[in-house]
Amino acid sequence: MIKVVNDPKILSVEDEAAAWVVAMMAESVPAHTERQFELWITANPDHAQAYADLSATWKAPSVAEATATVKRQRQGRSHLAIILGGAIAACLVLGFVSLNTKSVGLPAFKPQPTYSASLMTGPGDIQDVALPDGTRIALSGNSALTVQFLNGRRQVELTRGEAWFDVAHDEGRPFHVAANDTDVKVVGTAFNIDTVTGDITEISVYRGKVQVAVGKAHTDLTPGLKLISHSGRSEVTRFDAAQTPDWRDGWYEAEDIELGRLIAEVNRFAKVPVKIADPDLAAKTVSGRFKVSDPALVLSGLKQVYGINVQADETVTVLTK
Amino acid sequence: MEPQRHDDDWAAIRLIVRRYALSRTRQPDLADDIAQQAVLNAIEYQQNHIVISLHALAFRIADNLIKGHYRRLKPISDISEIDGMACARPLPDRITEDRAETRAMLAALNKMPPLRRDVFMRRRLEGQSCEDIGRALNLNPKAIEKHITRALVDLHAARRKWREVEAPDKTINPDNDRPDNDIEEGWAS
Repeated sequence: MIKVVNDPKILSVEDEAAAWVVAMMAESVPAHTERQFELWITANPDHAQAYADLSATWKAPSVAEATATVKRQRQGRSHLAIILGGAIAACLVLGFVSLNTKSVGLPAFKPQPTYSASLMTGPGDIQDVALPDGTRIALSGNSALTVQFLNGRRQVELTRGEAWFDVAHDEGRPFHVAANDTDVKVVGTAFNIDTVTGDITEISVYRGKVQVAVGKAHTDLTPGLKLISHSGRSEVTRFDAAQTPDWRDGWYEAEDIELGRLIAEVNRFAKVPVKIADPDLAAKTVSGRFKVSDPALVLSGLKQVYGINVQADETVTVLTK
Repeated sequence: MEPQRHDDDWAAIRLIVRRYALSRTRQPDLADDIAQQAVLNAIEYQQNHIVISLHALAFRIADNLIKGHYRRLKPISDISEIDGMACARPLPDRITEDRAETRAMLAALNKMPPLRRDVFMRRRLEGQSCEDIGRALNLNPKAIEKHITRALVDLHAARRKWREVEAPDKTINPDNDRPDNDIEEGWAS
């Protein structure tokens, strides 16, 4: 979960409840949002009451009728009135926005000169995070990273798993990502970094340019290039940068990759960890497009196509030949 | 998520869904039925599905039950049914009261900054998503959510105020048929 220090005085329970009513009626509510909602609503009986009351106001027939009336009244006005109204509206909008920068909403990051955050996801939980400089990070399941903005440097450490970065351009403050033994220096770009295991790191560049340092060797990567660093040695290959990384939609594309690698991806989503019984099986190669966000589906596919045995109990799923 | 919930948790969910259903239907007996049915359905549902938020699930089920209730009420083709439904149909003073509440909501809408009102109406009346509204107005969806939130807070404050002033003795306070006065303060504060 994302930890955010928030001044509780800014938001009243009613404001928070209203924000949750608005957030929870979206067409699709992300799993992590729903989880945060359940934590919030069970935290205090006042929260639950306020949520019930604000939800009822949202649905109130009087509100439905009032909005319909406003719409009818507006349609009856002349064009001139609408144009004038628009101009007045524009003025009011400016005033409104400037007055409301600290207004209600779900807890959010606030711009600060120096800034730090720790993000962590559980299996199956993908977090989209906006940093105060405009950088966006999507953190895959079962992954962790820390962010620190210091004077003249933005530093991220990917301590576990995989993340996708869309970095805001800021020449005065280069953006660095450290993962395993690699360091990625960014100016302004979109790229993906995957710590496959403790000694393998994959960096794929989607836009812009990054410089990767593995030990003392520096490699420049441009869009469409992927660097795989394995125990201090690095290798550069090409990939299709027109597509965003598959994992962002829960897919993993495998071409002759080791089963162990695929299962590492599955474990970013699996609620019950998947283990491979022996190293021979882990080294066996598989190919295909796997919906790793649905571990049960992947495992039944492996069973059918590769004849791999799946033994599941409550705490672990074991794959055997 | 633990597979079995404590009875206490379900009791808390039932109470809060009842509060919601009462605020929407203003009929204590109907609210009891809806709350009980919503919890039963939720218990059944979570046995076969992974549920992240039981509260969200229970509220969604309650919404559907309320919708189903009013849908059943609308076409009264069979004369003999009318007698049995008499309690569920709006009374004349309820209708007058509803009109007055609508006027209060209208006043609150007209008092809002135009952008806030416009965004709220797109979401509430036209059912546009925050993303769609953001694209139309060139604002990000988070900003849209905040405008809608503000509008909802405004309307809620107006609705609460109207009920305190205009209809203090009507059965619209979700808790005034229970002796628990603490909760009543929560509604009024």
